[in-house]
Amino acid sequence: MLKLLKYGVVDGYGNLVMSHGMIYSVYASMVITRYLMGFEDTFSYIYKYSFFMPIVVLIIMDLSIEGAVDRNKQMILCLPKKGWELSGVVLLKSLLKVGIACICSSIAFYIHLSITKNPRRMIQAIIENVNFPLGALFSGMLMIFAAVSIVSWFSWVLVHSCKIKHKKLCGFFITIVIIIIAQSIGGMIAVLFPLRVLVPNAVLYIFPLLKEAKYILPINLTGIIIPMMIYIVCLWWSARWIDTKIDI
Amino acid sequence: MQKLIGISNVKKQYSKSKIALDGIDLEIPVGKIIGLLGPNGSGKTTFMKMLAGIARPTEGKIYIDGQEPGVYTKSIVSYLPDQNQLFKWMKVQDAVAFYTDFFQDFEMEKAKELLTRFEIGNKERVTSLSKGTVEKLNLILCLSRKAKLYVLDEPLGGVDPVARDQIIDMILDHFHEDCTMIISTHIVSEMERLFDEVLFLQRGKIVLGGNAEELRLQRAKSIDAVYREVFAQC
Repeated sequence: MLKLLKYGVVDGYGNLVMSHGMIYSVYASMVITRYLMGFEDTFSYIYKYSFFMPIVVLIIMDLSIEGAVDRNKQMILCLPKKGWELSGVVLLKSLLKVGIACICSSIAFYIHLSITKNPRRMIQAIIENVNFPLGALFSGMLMIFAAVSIVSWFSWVLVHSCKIKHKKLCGFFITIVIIIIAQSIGGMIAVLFPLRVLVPNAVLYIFPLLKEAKYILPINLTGIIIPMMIYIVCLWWSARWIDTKIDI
Repeated sequence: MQKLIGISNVKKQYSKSKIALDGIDLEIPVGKIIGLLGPNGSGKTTFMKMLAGIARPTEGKIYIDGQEPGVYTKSIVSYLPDQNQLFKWMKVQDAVAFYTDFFQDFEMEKAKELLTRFEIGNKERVTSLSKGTVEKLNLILCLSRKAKLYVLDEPLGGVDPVARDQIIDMILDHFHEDCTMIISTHIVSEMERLFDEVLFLQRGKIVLGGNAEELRLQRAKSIDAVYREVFAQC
C-alpha cells in the first residue's frame, strides 16, 4: 500500500492530490476561518493546538517540491531569462496553489460553522457570499465529486502500478468524474471562475514579464480542482469532529 | 579557428563520494561536430547540463562565446535533453508556440516544414506520440533554432533504426559552419560518421580525445571499436 501511495505521490497526478492537498489545507483553513470570523483567541488557539507548525512545514515542503528540478522545470530553466524571473514563476505557482486551497477551504468551513450553529445565519452566509441556488448546488455536488475523485484517484494509482492492466476500470472512473464535473460546473463556476481564471489571467496579462506562468499554471488545471474538492470534504468532516471536541 | 567554448578545470561534485566531473580542461572551436562518448554515469549529461546553463560547476570556469553560462548563453545554446521535457498537457502546436515565445532565434517556418516532413500533426498531444516521434519533435524544436551551439544529449535514445537514420539525416541537414554541435551517444557505430572530433569520458575525466579521422587512422579502427577498446579496459 505504501508503495502504491509512494507511486501516486511521485506520479504527477498523485503528487498534486497528496502533497498539496488534504493536510495543510485542513489546518490552514481552520486558522484562517477562525481569524476571519473574528475569534479573538485565534492565536492562542494556534499555539494551543500547534496548528501553525504543520502549515509552515507543509508550505515549505510544497515549495521545495516546486523547487525541485524535474523535467518540466528543466525546460523552464533552459529559457534565456533571469534567475529571479524563473524562480519567481515557480514561487508564484506554489503560492497561488496554497492561496486557493486556503480560500476554498475557508469558505467551506465558514458555511459549515454556519450550518451547525445557526441555520438562519447559514442561509444568510450563502446568500451574501455565493448565489444561493448555485451555492446549494455547489455544496451538494462537492460531496459527490470529492467521493468519486478519491475513488478514481485510488484506481488511477492502482492502474498505474499494475502497469495499465485495468484500462477499462480506469476509463470507467474517469467517465464518472467527467459526468460529475459536468454536473458540478454550475456550482464550480460560482466559486472557481474568479479564482481559477481571473487570478492567473490577471497575472499573465498585467505582468508580461511572467510570461512563463502561462506554461506552468495549466499543469494545475486538472490537479487543482480535484484536490480542492477533497480539501473541502475533509474539512467538512474534520470541522464536525472538532465541533464535538471544542466548544466554539 | 575561432573558439566557442572554453572550459578550465571544471569539477562537479554532487556529494563527497559522487564526483560527476573531475577537472575538465577543454577548448571547442566553431564549426565542429563533437562526439561525447562514455558509459552510463561517466558525466556526459552533467557536462551537457552545464553547457545548457541548468547545472553549475562546483569548481572551475566555463565560457561560451566569451561569457559564463547565463541569460546570454541560454539564448545561443539549443539543448536537447536526454528525456522529453515538454509539458504533458502540450499539443505539438503548443510546443512550437512555446519555442516561438521564448527563443528569438527560433524559426517557425523551419519547424513547420520539418513537422510536415516527419508527418507530425500540429494538433497531436505530446503524450499521444510514440517515443521515436517525441524524440523527433524535440529534435525538430531544438534544430529549428539558429543557435551557435547545439547540445544534443542522446538524440537516438530508444528509437528504432529507421527513426535513427531520419534523426541523423536531420542533424546533418541542419549543421552549418557557424555553429558547433556536441552530441552524446551510446550508439557510436551509427553516429560516428557525423563526428569531426570525439571525447571519451570516464568517471568524470576525459580519457581520450581528438580528431575522429586521425584516431581512426592511428588505431586502424572505427570509433565504435575504439570506444569498445577504451571502455573495456576501464
